[in-house]
Amino acid sequence: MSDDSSSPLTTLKILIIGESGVGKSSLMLRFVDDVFDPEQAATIGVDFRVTSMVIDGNRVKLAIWDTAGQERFRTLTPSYYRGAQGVICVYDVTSRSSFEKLNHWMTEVDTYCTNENIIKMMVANKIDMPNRVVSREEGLKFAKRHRTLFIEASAKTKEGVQCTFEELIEKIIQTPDLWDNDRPTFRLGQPTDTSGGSVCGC
Amino acid sequence: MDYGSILEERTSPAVLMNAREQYIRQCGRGSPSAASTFAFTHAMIGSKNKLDVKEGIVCLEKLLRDDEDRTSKRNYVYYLAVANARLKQYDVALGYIDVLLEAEGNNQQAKTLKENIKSAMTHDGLIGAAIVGGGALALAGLVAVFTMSRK
Repeated sequence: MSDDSSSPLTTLKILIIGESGVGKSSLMLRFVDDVFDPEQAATIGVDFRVTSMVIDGNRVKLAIWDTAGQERFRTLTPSYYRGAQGVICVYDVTSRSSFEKLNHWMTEVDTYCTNENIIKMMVANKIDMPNRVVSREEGLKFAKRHRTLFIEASAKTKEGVQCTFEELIEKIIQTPDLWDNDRPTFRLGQPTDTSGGSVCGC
Repeated sequence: MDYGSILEERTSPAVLMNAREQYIRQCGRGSPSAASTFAFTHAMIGSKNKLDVKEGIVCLEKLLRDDEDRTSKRNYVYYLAVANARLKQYDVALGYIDVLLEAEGNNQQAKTLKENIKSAMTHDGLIGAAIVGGGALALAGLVAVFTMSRK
């Protein structure tokens, strides 16, 4: 068994993405602080919280990056994908357009993620609302097509929130390539990284 | 990547270089877009080089004065708090975050940043030290700019 004082197995970087107003910050704050603010202010740039959870008896530290959905910040987000092991892509079941933009977000994940086998989780938020327009079946179908995990949730009522993070982290832990840094990252006969990664485009 | 708070976040040199190039390229063609100006200043205040952070602050202050949009102003105020805290100019940083909190008392992101600034001060042994008047005075004008736009 593990408790809060034990040293963590690893630190995982989790990114939350999706359109503006779908409830990304609300999901994070419900998970981290167990609070909900119906008047949640729009996120500025990128917010960041650290927490930890115990999965299969191992304590795992989580660095959760909550990105702003607003268009004006889109130029910032690509750099945040670097090194992420898990990504939570949120849409609002009462907003068809937030669901239709999922394709764009999936493309962004594939373009900017540096971990090839990053674990993706699709979250259908606001299921407590009476005016739902995106059905569970539609969400599931999309998730299947893109090989992502899928959960319906409500940051307001807590439903599915804990599950979202537990399932995602569990799946990451089951994929040691993503987090086990002790494994050698180079092969014999190949030079290690000496290029310094210059990207000058002059 | 093992950060304790947003204050410790740093821009990678590659990201800063790209943002700078894009910004300069757009300047050469006329006036740069708001998005690339902001991306550039955001990268600057995350630089490990203090001179970059200072330059980023100057840019943000200019944006705060010139941009009429209220949503943009709250972003600039937030990042001015972040940037000043990174330079250990804590009194100015607290001044800016209080401006944001005055307008949005329940903003969790702003509250967290204020806590982060305070714990950085405690860490640096500055808590309890008198707040230096100069920074607070310089802020007064900008506070007015911010609050006036809240119509």
